[in-house]
Amino acid sequence: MIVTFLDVVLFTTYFILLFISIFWLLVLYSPNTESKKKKLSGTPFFTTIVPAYNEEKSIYKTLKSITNLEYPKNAMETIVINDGSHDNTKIVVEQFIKEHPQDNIILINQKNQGKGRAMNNGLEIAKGEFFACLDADSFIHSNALQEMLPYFEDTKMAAVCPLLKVKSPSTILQKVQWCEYIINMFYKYLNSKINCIHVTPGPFSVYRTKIIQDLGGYDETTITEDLEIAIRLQKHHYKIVQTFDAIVETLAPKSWRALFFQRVRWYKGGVDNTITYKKMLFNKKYGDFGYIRMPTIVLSGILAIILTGAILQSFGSKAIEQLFYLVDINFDIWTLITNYELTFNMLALPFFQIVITMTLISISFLVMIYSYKLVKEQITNHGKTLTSMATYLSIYSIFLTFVWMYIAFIFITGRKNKW
Amino acid sequence: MDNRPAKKNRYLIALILTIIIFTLGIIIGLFIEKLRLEQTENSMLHEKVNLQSLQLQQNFIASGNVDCTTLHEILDANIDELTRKGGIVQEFEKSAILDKDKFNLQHRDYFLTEIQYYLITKEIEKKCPKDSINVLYFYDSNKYETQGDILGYLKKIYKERLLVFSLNAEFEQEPMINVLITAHNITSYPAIVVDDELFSGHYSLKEVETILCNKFGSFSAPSPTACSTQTGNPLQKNPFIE
Repeated sequence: MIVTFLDVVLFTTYFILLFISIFWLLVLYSPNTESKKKKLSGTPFFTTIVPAYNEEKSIYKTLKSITNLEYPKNAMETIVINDGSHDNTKIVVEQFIKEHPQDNIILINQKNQGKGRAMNNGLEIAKGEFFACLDADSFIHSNALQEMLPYFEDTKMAAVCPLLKVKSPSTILQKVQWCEYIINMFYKYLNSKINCIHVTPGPFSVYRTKIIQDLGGYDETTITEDLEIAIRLQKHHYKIVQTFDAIVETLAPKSWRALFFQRVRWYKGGVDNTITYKKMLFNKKYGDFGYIRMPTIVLSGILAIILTGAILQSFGSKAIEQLFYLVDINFDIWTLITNYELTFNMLALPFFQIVITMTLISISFLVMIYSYKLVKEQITNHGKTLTSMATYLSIYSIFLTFVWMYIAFIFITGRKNKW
Repeated sequence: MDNRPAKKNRYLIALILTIIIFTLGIIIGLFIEKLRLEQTENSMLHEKVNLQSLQLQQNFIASGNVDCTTLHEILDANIDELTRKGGIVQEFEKSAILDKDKFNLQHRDYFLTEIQYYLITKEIEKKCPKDSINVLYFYDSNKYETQGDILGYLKKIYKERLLVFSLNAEFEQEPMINVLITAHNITSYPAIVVDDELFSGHYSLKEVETILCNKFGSFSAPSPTACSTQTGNPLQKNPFIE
């Protein structure tokens, strides 16, 4: 057997993938040690900061979902930071404030300086003991605060993440993202179990204000401030927990292009912050976060590129050979069909790869079943999702690999980050 | 704030389970390799028994107890089967871990059996009216070379009237292949020997079809219907014809 460099890389990739999958399975079946939700004592003041850039279409509904929160209105304030929008965001918000004088809503207009700056401006005037960031394309369920604030009875708790779902997925692409979000929530659940959450998403993650202020607020230079702040909290050994009782729905990109650039921003931000916090990598001071969570932020991209590259190379090479063959025989496919002989040799199957692949597929199915059970969703909740599931399992992983390849290209060419 | 200790046991158990699954995969792979070796040994034995039977049958052609047509059909079927099995041996040899030498021996056995089939085909032709073409195809390790594919396609068209014997010119373990290479003055690959006439280099489908149809035209038996569309002689323009 001639062992090529590609074989070594592929086998190492299989090994790492299998190790990580088994690790998370062990986490799944380990006893739950995460913070138990206690009863909320008192009614702490709460601030919602809504950074908005060109969100005229969705911000009204976003603000409406805030005012619908089941929480005393005198213990709540909403700060909208209009980050230099070119559309009618400002007018829509002003109109909303006029229509809802009983709700404590403040509008701040700033020059376009990015989300990090917008959040810091909001934090400067926030009066809440706790605050949340709510992206202007997201909508919270009315019970969210009731479900999330009790976790802060644990004094080490710095942030609580809600259950994030795609709002009313209608196209195949949105349904694909709906599946993806559900599975991601399962991973968040596992991460939460060992206090390894590395991102507190923009849509309504709730923070303890003092902790964030003590840490210096949001990083204004990063393109993923929600990821950076979570890693910084982990660096200081604070707790971040995931809840499944508070639901936030968010609008998913409708086009592949929009999705592509959204993911480039997310994953590139992940890589940037891994580099920034590289001292946490494999650092025993940070326990599981240093050993498994931080390395896998970048490793997942590398593994995706290797595996998809190998699969495409294998299929591509066979496809080219077949094409040459067809060109040689003047595309006489009819002769090939009429003379086709089915020959199957069981022993010719690549058994080693089959054992590893079947193990990984079984784990993936287990993950899917658990994910849907965890978020109390049915696979048929948004009509026939078979096409979207098939797309998710096949094309989507290749799509994400292209995202990673583009990020690699950005790094190689030294391009600047864009929000 | 305090450091966070990781549960080292979890990593250890994950590592042990990963190694177990990997080892299981390797053990299954080795077990399968043994089964593959047994399968190829049985296959080659089967083909050699068929060859012996054919050798004996051709001795009885003159007595009229053996029919030439039947013999040609058996010959064609056996060569087809042998070619298919040869491909399997080659694939198994590539992925072998422990028994590479044994697979290599099987591969050598395959080439020898194929040459023996080639020789017996020539013997049968002396006793029976010739109506099929024998092609010796010598290939090297150029994986983008498609001469073999073209011959495989033509085999599907001409069926039992085209017998193709493929030999790896770079298989140094078997000296008999070199003997054939020297006997036909082959110096470059791919090379095809059509009824003892050498054609070096790559030939397109149309060129090979013309070569074959010209040969069929010289037989007493009618040419295959596929040859009725062939006209002209492109070989005259080909500098590789020797």
